[in-house]
Amino acid sequence: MNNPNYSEETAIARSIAGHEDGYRYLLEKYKTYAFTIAIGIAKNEENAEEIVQDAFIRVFKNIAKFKKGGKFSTWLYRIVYNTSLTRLKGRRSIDTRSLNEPENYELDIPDNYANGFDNLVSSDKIAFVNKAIENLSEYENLVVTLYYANECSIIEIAQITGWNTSTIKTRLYRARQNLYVELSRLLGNETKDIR
Amino acid sequence: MKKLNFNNQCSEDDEKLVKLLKTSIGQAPSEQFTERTLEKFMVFKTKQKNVHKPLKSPLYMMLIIGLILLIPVFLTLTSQIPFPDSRFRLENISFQLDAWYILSTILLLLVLMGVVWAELSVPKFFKTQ
Repeated sequence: MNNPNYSEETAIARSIAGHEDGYRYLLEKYKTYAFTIAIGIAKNEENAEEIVQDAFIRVFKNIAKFKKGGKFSTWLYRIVYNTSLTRLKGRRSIDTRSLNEPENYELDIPDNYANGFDNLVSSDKIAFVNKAIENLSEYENLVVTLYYANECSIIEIAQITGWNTSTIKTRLYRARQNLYVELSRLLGNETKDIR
Repeated sequence: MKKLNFNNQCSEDDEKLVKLLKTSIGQAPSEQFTERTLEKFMVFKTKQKNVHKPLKSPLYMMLIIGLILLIPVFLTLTSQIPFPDSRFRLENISFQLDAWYILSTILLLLVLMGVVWAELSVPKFFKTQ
């Protein structure tokens, strides 16, 4: 795996041929991204790990069917997303509210966020952002994870989730807006604690 | 007010938070995750290798034998046709039917043995020894 010539294409070809090093490469490369998607939906580490494990096994079972022109990450994330939903269906209802598309995607930033967030030390900023993301809904969490952490485009998110592009943009906009609100609330609590 | 862009790049006014989102999101599964997943998949692969897949060819052979067995019945029905050869006269027909059924039974037994051989994976058994 440390071989610089060992690319993702090589790993896929080796996996199709049934070689363990191919599976290992794909697992190591994508486990964190896949786990981040699953935990955003499952909200529980143990369940998320089971979901990701099931998703990877499904991927390896069907790897010969993977289309060469496609993007492996998009295919994997779609399977992780579907596996997460299948697990979720048994326990909770899925948010199917219709979304009104905002006229302009302008984010309203609370005052105390603008004044307070930049003054935090780097580690606190990360802790605050992670806490705020945890408090988003499953779909807001998912769209933020796919868009920012996994660097998927709007089109790729559409392929993974099956949502149309305007729904994705609206969810992303709402997620960002809620993130500001959540960060502002967390900053407010922090200030209260100091007082 | 900041306008959200959809090209997944850090815009100047929103750069700090977007950079944080890109770097801070990400949770890793447990350390044993890779090994556990590989182990589970390898167990599945081994099981799949040993899964018994029934052969179709013995079924087709059985059908052919069945049709061969039915031929004497048709012959009996059409036995009123005068055969020039003495062997096909009516008084000899029961002997011919007996001979036919003995031959068919032997054929059927041979096919059954073939089925048992293939289905029980006898060649595989010897290979693994």
